[in-house]
Amino acid sequence: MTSWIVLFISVLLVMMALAAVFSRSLASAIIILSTLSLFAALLFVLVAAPDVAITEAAIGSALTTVVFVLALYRTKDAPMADDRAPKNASEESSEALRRIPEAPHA
Amino acid sequence: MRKLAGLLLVGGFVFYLAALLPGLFVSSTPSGLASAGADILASAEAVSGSANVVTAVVVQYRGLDTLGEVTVLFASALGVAILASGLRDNVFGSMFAKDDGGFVLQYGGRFLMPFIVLAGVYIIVHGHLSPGGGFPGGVLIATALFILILTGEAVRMPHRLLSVLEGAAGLGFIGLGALGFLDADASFLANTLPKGQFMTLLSAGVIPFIYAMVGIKVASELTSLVAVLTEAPRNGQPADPAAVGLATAGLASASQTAAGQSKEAGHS
Amino acid sequence: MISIAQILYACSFALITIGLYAVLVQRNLIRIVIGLNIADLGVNILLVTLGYVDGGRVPIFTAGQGAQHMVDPIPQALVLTAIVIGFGVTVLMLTLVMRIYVKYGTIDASRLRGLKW
Repeated sequence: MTSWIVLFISVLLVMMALAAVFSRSLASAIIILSTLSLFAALLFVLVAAPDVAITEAAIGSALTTVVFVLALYRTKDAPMADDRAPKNASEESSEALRRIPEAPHA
Repeated sequence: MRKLAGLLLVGGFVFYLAALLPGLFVSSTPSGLASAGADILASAEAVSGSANVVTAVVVQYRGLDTLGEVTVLFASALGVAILASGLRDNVFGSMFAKDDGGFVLQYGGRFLMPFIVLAGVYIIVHGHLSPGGGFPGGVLIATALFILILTGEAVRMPHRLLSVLEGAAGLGFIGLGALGFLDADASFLANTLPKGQFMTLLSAGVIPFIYAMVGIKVASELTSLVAVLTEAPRNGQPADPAAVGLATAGLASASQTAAGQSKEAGHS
Repeated sequence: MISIAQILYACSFALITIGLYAVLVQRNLIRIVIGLNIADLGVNILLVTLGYVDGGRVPIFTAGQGAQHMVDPIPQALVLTAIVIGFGVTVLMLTLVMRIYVKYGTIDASRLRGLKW
């Protein structure tokens, strides 16, 4: 039984990692990363490591996300790193986080 | 081209991991553990008196290493404090303070915060009895303080107090470790205090005290780490030299000149 | 029947590989940090799995039970500190990214001369 739950969560983790790497929007990549940490904490509970699970849940899903969002907010006007982006991508200045120019993965 | 080279490198790494894989299964014998873990499990009660063996490993068997890890954390906090003194605008001036999240969020955060701190303190204090200890508890306390900032409260982080706490906790760690020299076979971080009744709160000798020091240090370090980033200076000038905590006058002026050249793009 | 340890080895190797691919291929510096974080998580899962035994108990003594069938506590203690250190390193990397943006006006690694091919 535990083996099936572990298998399910492992597949979920790999899929979320792929989604975080290949997602078009950077903001959603960050949120997927925090969800990834939360499910990894669940996995740590299943392999009898509750100390690690507490730390991973607190750090991965709370503090890391906050710091990533801060970094994203501070660099929101940067021309995104992409081959196919328009040359003057920096002119698309965005005010809010949701209006970050979405960069297709390179 | 770049993608192809990346795929080739990753393919080589996958091949390496696949070659490594059979070796991983050799060490786990059918009876259970490799020798070091089994020895520690057998001797943990007598040597450390801590019911949580992970805590015993972190504080006693690998105590010196934990001191090193905390130092690494301090080094990264130092680096962040120095680097953040040259950032441009005040995030919480523009990001959160403009709309303060509303009544429910603000009072919810204010209501929730002491309970999260309480849970963190509980986790630190009971680190030798139940899952937890200094590292998870310290992280939890840092999270609680940060929830208060996120809800838009105008919190001024007591940076001076945080750095004093951090230094005092580090000194406390070393001082409690130096108690080990009182032992017959004098060694740093030896567990000299009376071990008490196994599986009660006042047991395991020096371990709960050292782990509490680690908890205070981790909590203050992580809090100042994130707070330095959020309370970043406006227009390249440190809002408050004390806010950065570690920035000297020379660093502040250097960061001003660095921010002055901020828009020099490095196009090749 | 596949054991839990085998599933987790496969999972952690997949996570490390995905993170490494992101570090090598992506050009946005924040995405590179995300890739490093994923690889970090994979390494942590690998380390915890190395100490796991099938049907093992949590390495905490409870009343009336000895040390039988406990999992290895050493990798857990390693990972416990590694997660906190990893967070410190992540914050340092992101601060560097912010500083690079302030100084050069871009977070594209290929536009920073000599940083990436």
